[in-house]
Amino acid sequence: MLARALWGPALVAAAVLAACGDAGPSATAAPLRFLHTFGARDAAFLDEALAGWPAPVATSLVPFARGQTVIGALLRAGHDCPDLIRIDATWLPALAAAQLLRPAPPAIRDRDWLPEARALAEDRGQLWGAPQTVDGLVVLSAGDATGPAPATLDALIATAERAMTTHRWGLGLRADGYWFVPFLRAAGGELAAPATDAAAAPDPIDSAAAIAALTRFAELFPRIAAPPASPGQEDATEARRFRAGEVAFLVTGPWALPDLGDVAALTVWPLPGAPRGGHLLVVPACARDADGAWRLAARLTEPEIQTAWARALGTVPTTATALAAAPSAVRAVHDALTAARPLPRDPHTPLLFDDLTPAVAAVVAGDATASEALAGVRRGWARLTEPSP
Amino acid sequence: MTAVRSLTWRVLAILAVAVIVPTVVVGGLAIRREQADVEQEVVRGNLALIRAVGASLDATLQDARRALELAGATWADGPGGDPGDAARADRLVRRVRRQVPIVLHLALTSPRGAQLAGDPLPRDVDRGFHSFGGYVGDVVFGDGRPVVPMAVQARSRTGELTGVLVAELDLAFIGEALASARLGPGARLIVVDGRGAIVARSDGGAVGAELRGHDPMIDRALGATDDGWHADDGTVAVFRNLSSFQSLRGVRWSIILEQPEDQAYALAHRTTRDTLITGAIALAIALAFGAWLAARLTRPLAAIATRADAIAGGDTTATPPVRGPGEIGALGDRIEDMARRLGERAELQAALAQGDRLATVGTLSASVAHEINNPLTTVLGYANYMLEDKAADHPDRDGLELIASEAARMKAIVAGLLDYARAPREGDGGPADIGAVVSRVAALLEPQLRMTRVAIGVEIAPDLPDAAASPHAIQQVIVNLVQNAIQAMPGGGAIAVAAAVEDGAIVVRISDNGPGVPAADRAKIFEPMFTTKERGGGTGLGLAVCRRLTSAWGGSIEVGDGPGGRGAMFRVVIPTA
Repeated sequence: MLARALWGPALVAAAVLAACGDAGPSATAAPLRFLHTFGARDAAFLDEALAGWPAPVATSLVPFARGQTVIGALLRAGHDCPDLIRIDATWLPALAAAQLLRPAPPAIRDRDWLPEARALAEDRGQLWGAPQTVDGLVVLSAGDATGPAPATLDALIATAERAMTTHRWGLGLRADGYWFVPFLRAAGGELAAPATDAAAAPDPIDSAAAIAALTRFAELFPRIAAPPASPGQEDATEARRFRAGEVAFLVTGPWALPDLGDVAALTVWPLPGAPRGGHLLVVPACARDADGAWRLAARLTEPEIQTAWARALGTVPTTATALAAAPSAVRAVHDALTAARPLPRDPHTPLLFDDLTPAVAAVVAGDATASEALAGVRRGWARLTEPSP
Repeated sequence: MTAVRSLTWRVLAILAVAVIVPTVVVGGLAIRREQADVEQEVVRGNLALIRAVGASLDATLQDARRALELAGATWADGPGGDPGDAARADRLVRRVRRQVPIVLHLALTSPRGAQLAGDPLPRDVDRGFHSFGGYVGDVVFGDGRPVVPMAVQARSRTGELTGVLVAELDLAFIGEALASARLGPGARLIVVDGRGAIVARSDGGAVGAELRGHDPMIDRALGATDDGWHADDGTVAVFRNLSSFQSLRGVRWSIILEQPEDQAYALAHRTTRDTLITGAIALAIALAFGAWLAARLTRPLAAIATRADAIAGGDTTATPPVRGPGEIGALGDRIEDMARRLGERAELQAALAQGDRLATVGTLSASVAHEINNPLTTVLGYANYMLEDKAADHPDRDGLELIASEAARMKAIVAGLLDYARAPREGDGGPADIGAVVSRVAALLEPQLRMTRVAIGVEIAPDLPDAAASPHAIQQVIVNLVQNAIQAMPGGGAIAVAAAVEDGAIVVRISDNGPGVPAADRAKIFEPMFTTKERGGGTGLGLAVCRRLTSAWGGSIEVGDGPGGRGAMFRVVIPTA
């Protein structure tokens, strides 16, 4: 009887304590606004991770292709500002230079980030965000990689050529500017926007070496490399060909791992001259709830979540703890990416592909010569540094 | 309480536990799963609908985009080689307007944004540079019509950016597509842009309002990357991204189908209701059948109980035996078997009691007869002696004759008692010739028969075997029975004596056409000292002696109606030798 009599007051007291307590963000608070660039599969895992977050979060997808333009415009406008943004690492210099981002707080700075991951989030000596993943291009093989990894692009092509059969191509490549970067680098070039300072200008994109590199790249199709997939179908086509054994060596990134079957049996080689990049979680200067945004960024980069995403999505973790717990294939991709080189830290770098990729595709398709196409690229890139009319 | 513990209730309880409870549990789970399945079907159906409508909208916009891309590429690589040729630019704009009917306004700009041809463009329109091919902007409402900007890069065969086609597309086709969609009851279709602004709706309601942040359904739809569904506040909604529509912020547009839950799941609810009703009817039938089955099962048991009560009461004829198949039949048979054994035991006990009583009578009779017989002999002797010298008219003669006759009668009684009490002697087992015995009896009684005008008929079956009984005892029995018949017919009559073999034994029937033996007396007439004759007419020992004798030789005696239901017939069974 006594116990029953005490239940009512106890419940009332518990309700009062719960109402008065400050355990965390209120469910009625304005949702934290999160712009991201995740694909469909990644977004599902994001939703799962956010389900356990104590505050409401409103997520919005920013298509990767227009991300820099859209986010830049949004942050410059200053209204309707998101609190947290997932950006490509190549977008960081432009956003940081325009003072549109907040520097990372100590809680983020002091994490055990991998060196290459920390480098992605730094600009001019300042950490601007939480590295969320590292990516880039590597070479994957399901059984044809018997010897040591080729040290040069020529060696890789030769190995791929030897692996060719009647029903199998040696290489899986994309007719895309990003995939052309290793070939450009192998020819001594680099992906670089024209500098306003003529004295510091690198070799132009239509230099003889670049032309030779693009010519060589295009000649791989379809002699050694599988024909380019239809636009928008690249990921699915490459995965299907690789699983079917139609491609011996697939040049791709960690994002492809979930679709390639038994990844534990894969051999991962570094791609000589490969570009390396990644994604960051940054907080814009106009964020209304910067503290909440940084807390969420920290949560989304905790080892528990990074390890889960590594297992499910092939995401390469950015902390030493998470990497140690990641599957072997993901660790192998990480190791291969350590040999890759980041793209130039220039605000124009992500914009270069807008012109480079159509040119590469035109040459691979046989619609243009490398010199014609790269001349057009040079003209397009030149407009990046010209003042607007 | 007794009713609750009855077999009927137990059978019903077993039915409930074994059939109804599992049926209800399994049925409930099945209904729940079926309801979930139907709800999923509703969601799948609605998703299929918005995929179809969304695909149609996507296709329209993609067609416009491809038309612009093709026109831009053709213009970029066209003859003359000078993209700045104003006449060619004008022809391009006119051709695109003709080919793409949803184009309201169209402009062609140079890669640096200078307008080359077409309609004037506002300065704040994103001209699509660095957009990796093009984009679709946010919806705007001009003159109440939803309009969306689209930028498509015009690239030459070398991939070089030559210009940008910037168009304003009339989205009225979306509203028309939504209005023509065949929707379920209460359902409505909505298309929102990346800001959550309503672009079109099937119910003809207001458009333009921005619902992002105000409607959880809109937030969820715009946050998704493909499609999904959401149920909240009595409404179920399915949504799908429109892959060809992307706002300035990059958020894809979404098509949403909302429907009140009660209408969306009406089929599921109706199915559940019908299933419940059907299940209830089935259970009621099962219960009724169970009750009937229980009653059918217990009815023979109740009859057996009644039968057992009757048997316990000593009346085996009050209720009929319970017959039936299986265990019930076996139980009924056991009950009848038990009743038969009880009857036999009762008869045995009665016989024992009768035997005790007869033995007592016999012993007493022998003692009394022994003590009385000698004085009686003396009395009778003196009476006869005194009569010898009395003249016929002597005054004492009547008295002496009365003494002598009464003494003689008393000696007859004593003789009867001595006959009854006499134990069957060893060697009395025959053989006896029945025909000879009957003939001797007829001859012996012939004077009495003639005096009483009673005729006797004898019918002895030929080849009748000898009887396994003392001829003297058989004669005593037959004499007794014939004399009883004579006494029963003081006015004369007929007696028939017949002997034949039946069922391996000799049966002697003595019948008359006198008044017969009343049914109520038939069980008593074989008792000692029981008589229906007037006082002085009989000793009450004759038939008792007959039964004692027939029992002694292993036969029986019984009485019934005479031929034609008249008179009496005694049936005496004697074993054959």
